[in-house]
Formats: sequence, structure tokens, C-alpha cells
Amino acid sequence: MIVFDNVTITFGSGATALKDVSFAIGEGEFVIVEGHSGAGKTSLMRAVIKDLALSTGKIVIEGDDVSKIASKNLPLLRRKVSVIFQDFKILMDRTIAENIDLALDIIGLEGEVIKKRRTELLELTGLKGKENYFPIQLSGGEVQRVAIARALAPQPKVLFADEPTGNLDAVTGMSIIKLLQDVNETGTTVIMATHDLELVKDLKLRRLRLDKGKLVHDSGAHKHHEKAGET
Amino acid sequence: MKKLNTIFKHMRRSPYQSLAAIFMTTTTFFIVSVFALVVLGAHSMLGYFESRPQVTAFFKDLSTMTEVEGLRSEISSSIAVESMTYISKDDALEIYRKQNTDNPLLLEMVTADILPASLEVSAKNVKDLETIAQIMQKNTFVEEVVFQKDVIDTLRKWVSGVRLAGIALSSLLVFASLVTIVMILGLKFTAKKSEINTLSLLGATSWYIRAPFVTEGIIYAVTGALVGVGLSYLALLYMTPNIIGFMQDITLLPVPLWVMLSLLGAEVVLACLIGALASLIATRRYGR
Repeated sequence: MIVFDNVTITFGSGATALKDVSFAIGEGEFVIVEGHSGAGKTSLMRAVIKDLALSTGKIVIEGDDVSKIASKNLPLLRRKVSVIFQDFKILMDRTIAENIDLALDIIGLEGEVIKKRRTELLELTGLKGKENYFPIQLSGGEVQRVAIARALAPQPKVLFADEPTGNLDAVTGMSIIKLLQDVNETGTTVIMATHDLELVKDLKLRRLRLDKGKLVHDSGAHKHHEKAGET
Repeated sequence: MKKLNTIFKHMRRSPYQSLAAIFMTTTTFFIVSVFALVVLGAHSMLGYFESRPQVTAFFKDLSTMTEVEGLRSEISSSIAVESMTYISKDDALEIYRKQNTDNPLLLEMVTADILPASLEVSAKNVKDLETIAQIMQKNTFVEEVVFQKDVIDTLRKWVSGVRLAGIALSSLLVFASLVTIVMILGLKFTAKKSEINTLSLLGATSWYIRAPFVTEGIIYAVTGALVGVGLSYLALLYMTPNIIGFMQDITLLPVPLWVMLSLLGAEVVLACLIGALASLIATRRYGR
């Protein structure tokens, strides 16, 4: 579903964000991308939604080469691959309902359909009853849930969560991971980037480890090679 | 409707910027309307003069009806005449009385004897006026020939000048309005850069992001057009008694409703174009 083929991203300053990164993620997988700050996790996410240009290599999502997607078709890619941003990017002057409605409005839904879908998302993320709150009135964990609800609005095939537990305590962090697992169980491919190795150490999930922009470990590479051999 | 409410909310959040844009567009459309009305009025004046007897021959007191008839025949046989009216001394007095009904002193002092009889000739083609005047002038029983071609030429030059000045000033103001809206929307676009970036990352299309700004630009310009035309109409109503007094026989007022509605329609269309163009420039320029 997602294929990174020798992807390298070098900035104008000469700094390298990703270097010869190659991996493949199948449909419905839950993958953890781990690494310390500056390892390249966010760059990897930004490259997937074409928010960052590749220096070399290519990223293929469902058969489409991301580099070759025209600007006018970029919105379609970004609805297919939703991102939960490290800094949430929640609009602080709008209520929770308005933040979620915005994402639903963007994909062209209207009136009652928006209301119905919003209610479903609020229930899924445990935010029911808080739709008229402003983000500033919520806890960190709740704001993270708003970001998840908003990211799920377009019913994406891939959900990329960038440090979703970054600023949360362990218990809240685990509840967010549980929520992401629930989302994954509905068939959505989930990629979660984290630097908190302790929090995810017990999770039996595929892990990609980045270090200084290089992919140094892929716990599922073997399985993928086997699958590729079978087909 | 919800989207319009959001746009109005954004306008209320920066009231001075919104007021500046509306003030500029109002000034522009007020000036455009004033010039349009002046040019329309001037055209009506031209029409009035062109439809009036364009050459008038005033006869000496001793002239006879036979001589007048001879002149009439000579003119109609050589020129295509629209109309030819003989005004006797008594007719002239009647006209004089009508024109001065509110001034009894003037009426008392004038009798039919001191007013000359005249022949008013209106040609089908303005070019023939000079020939008519020449025919009239060669007759000894003609005291004076009043030839309105010079008046019309002067008026035409004046109308042309006003029209040119109007176009120049209006163009300048339209450009100023355009730049004002570009700057104001540009500032708003820049201030919302972070939100716009978020929308883009959420999968919003370029048009989804730009549409509220385009609508806002159109609202500024259309509001300016409506207020501008409204103010110019109020000014016209206020000045109507003075204009009527000044113009006397020339009927310029009231301006027909369809003229005002056409003017309003044309300016609203122009406003939509200005607003849309300005906001597209702003979102393109500041959206990079």
C-alpha cells in the first residue's frame, strides 16, 4: 500500500532528513515508527503527504507515485492519508464541533450528514458532550482526541499519527494508543511515530526504527519479503 | 449561509480594514456615478439643443408675409428640413409671457411691437445648418440669424472633456480600490497563513481556501457600489431644485428609474469584477 523506495530528503542547508529509506507497509497494518528527536519521523510523514519534496527515490501509495501527483490532485492524497500532527494544528478559535465539521466540510459533506458523522466521531474518540468546548478548555489528551477525530473525518485509508502521545502522561498516552488500535481494527492502516520507546515497548506491533534519517531496523521486513515472494 | 456568517465574522474582527475597503470602494463608485449622471445629463442637453430649431431668422419690422413665404419656399426647396415654424410678433409675446409668468414687471414693460417675428428652422442633417443660415442672411428683410451650431459644438467638446476626465478619474479610483482590497485581503490572508496551511494539509482544495477571500472582496466592492450609487442618487435629489432652476426648458429630471437601475446594475457588475480580481490577486500573491 505504501512503498518507500530509496527515499532521501536533503534540505537546502545540506542537512539530511532521510537517507536511502526503503520499506513497504501493507493495507490494514499498524506500524510504529520510532526514533529519537531529529531521527526523521516527521520528515517521513511530511513526505508521505507531499508536504516535503524528495531529493531522490520515490514514495508510492496505492500505485500512485507521490512525487508525480499534480498540485490539483494533492487534496485527494491528503484525504486518503490523514495526519495527526505533533502540534495538533487544531483551530483554537473554533469549537470542537467546528473543528471536526471543517474537515467534513472540506470533503464536501453537508448539513445533516456532517452532524451525523460528527456525532459518530465524537463517540469514537470519547468526546461526546464536549462538542461546544473550545480547545483551550480541554486537557492535552482530549485535544489529541480532537485531532484524531478530525483526522478520521475523511475516512482515510491511512492514518499517520506524529507523536500522538508526545505531551501526555503514560495512562493518557496508552488510551490514545488504544484508540488508534480501535481505528486500525476498522481496517485503517495506522502509522504512529514516537520517540517514547518505553511507552510502546510492550506492544506487539511492527516497528520501523529511524536514526539520523536512516532506517536502522524494520521488525516486519522479513514478513513483507515473504509476502512479496508468495505473490 | 453558514459560510457567509463566517465571512461576516471575519469582517467584524478587523472592522477598520473592512471599513477602509468599503470607504475606498464607496468613494470610487460615488465618483463613477456622479460622472455617469453628468455625462448622461450632458447628452440629454445635447439632444435638446439638436432637436430645437437650430437656425432662427429674426425679421425686420417692415418685412412682409410674402417675403417670409418666399424664404420658406427657398429653404424647403434646397434643404431637407425637419420642421419650419413661423413665430409672429403675437406668438413671440405669448412665449415671452409664458417664460416670465412669475415676473409681472417684465410682462408689463413688453408689448408685441417690440418683439421681432422669426422663422425657426430645424434641419434633418446638422451639416445643412450652415447653408440654411447663408440663405437666410442673404435676404435684406432678415435682421439677424441665430445659429446654434457653435453652441452645440462647444457643448460637444465640453461633454467629451467631461467624459474623458470621468474615465480617467474613475479608472484611477478603480485601480486604487483594487489595490486597497488586494492589500487588505493580503494582510488577512497572511494573518491566517497557519490556518490556511492546516486546511491545505487536511485536504482542502485551492478554491475551498480562496473562496471566502474572494467572497469577502466581492462583498467590499458591491457594498461600495450600492452605497456609492445610493449617495449619488441622494445628492441628485438634493440638487434637483437647483438643476431644474438652472436648466429652465431643458428637461433632465427626474432621471428615469430604469436609468438609475441600469447604472446600479452596471456598477454592481463592475464591483463584482473588481472584488473578484482583487481577491484572486491577493490570494495568489500572498498565498505563495
